[in-house]
Amino acid sequence: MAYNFTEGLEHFRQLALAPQAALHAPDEMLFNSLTALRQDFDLASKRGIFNPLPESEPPIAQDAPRLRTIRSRLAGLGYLRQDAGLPIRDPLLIHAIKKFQQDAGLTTDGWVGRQTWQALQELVSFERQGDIGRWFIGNNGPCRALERAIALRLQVLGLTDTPACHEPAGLAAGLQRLQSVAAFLQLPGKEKIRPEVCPATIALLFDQDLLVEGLAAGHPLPNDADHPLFAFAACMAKVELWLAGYEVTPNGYEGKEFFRPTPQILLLGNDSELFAALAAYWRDHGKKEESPLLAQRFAGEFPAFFRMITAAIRAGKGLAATEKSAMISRMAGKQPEQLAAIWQTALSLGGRMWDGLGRAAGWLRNLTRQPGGKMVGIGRNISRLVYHQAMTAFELARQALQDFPVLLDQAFSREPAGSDPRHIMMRHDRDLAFKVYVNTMGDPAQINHFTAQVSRTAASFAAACRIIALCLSTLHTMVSQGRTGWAGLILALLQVSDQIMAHGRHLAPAPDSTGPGRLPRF
Amino acid sequence: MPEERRGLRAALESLRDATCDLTSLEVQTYTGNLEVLFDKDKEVNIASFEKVLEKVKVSGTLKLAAMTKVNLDGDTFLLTSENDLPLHVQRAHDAAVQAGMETRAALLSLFANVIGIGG
Repeated sequence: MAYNFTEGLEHFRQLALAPQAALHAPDEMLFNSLTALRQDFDLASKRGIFNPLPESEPPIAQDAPRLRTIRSRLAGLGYLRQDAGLPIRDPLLIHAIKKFQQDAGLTTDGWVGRQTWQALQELVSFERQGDIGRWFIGNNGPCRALERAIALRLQVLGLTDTPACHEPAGLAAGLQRLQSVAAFLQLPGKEKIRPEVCPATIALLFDQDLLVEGLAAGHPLPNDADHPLFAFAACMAKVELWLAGYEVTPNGYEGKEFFRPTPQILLLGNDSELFAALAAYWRDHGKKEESPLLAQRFAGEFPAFFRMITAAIRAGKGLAATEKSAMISRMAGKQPEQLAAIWQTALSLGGRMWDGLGRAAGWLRNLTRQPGGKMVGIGRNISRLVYHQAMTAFELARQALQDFPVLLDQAFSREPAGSDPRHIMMRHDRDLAFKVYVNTMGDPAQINHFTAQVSRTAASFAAACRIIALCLSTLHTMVSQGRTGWAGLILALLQVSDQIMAHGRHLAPAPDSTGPGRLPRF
Repeated sequence: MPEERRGLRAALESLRDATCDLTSLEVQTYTGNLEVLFDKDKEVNIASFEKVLEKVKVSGTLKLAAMTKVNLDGDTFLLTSENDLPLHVQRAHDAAVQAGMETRAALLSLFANVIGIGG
């Protein structure tokens, strides 16, 4: 799908250049501005420029990257036979989503909203998304979705060799290999690792960063060529190369058959995909002459490779949000005419679009600190960093726009919700005059609760106003510079993304707006 | 006009009514024993705010505990009772002041940007 980047910002441009706008009253102008902004945001989503999680309507573009990612993840977990390109309304896909939701203890509606998307992220992506322990059901062990995720992870990391290992015996065999690897690499907490599905073992299995650090430590290698460490190291390399943007696919992903590399096979370079990716990696990291040899010697010298990965992980973790935002904005701003190509690349990445972003940011940071360094996988990594940064800002700005009427209604409500004469009442008069009545016999806890709610409501309204003001101001600058296509919107979002994200932390989800007397979301 | 745009229109119209004066922000916090007004065993109709206030006034137990006025230029006037206020009362008063200031500053910022576009 090709994107027309000359489109975009049409409504906003018309408004900004309209000479009669100054004649309107401020609230009329605000209405026109918010409406134009909302129309352009909707158009960006409709045209597939941004792919936010749909709230009620299915995406128009059936090959939208999010949909591909959802299918790929469901297929990896065994809920779909394969990623057969099913459209969002296909009964097979809806059935698969419902089964996943049921197994994960989520609302079973067959729709991937924020909660289901987050669950898929936590259970499938490699960069830590949250506490994997939350998928255990009390003392009753893991939920069914976690069992499948464990089976997938064991397969991806070369610890099992069939995709149907979510049976207890298969899981136990894979976890036994994990135990051997953990003991050999002397990983922290290795004594708690058992060949069974328990929180400590599963936390380690999903801690990709810790596993990388273990492989980077450089312990003497085992003499036994069949030791699970070798297959594990090779499969971990595949994952890290995939996350870094190289042409290689982890086992179990995108229909990949299992392949168990042994030291002998690696020496012979028979896993051509892994071999080529490793050689490319070393070449891009300044080892042009030695790159084939370094790839061939991977089985014996893999710690050096994982030390490079560790450096990117650490650099990513040490990157402040403002520094990251400025770095990405600078990168995109240098060649704005390249944005269409950047977008095209980003939207073709599938699941990789939503994984390994911390590593990519760390890689970029290290790169910018080494003048003359080769741009490793520049197309893919820059693309997904730029897309993700702009997308995050887009989603927050869209939420601010949607929630604005409800938040405004709350902020200027004469009697804030929760007023109770037994504890506290608040009256908000026309201009900004508040009268607060505190009952001396009231419960301080109830009073504090009400007070906190008033503070949250005001902070949320202020955050929405600030985000919208930032968008209006920056887009106005873009329009005045003649950047009226989608590039203008993207550059504007990138420029203020760190500020939008900072305000976005105070943007509470709007309460149900469908109740009687409530204003609808915009 | 689509429903969501009607919602925005309605919200902005209420804003026009509500914010005839953004220049002055004032918070008055009263304390008092309102218990006499209610039968503890019965559900309180908390919607009848005006009626509650009328009864409170009659009871004469309400005391102005704190008052803060913040002008647009930042000048702040503060009035508090002689005795220290309980922490939760002070918090409630401060929260209202803070909410008013945040709301006013954010709205002014929004309007400034909108007028900037029009100009």
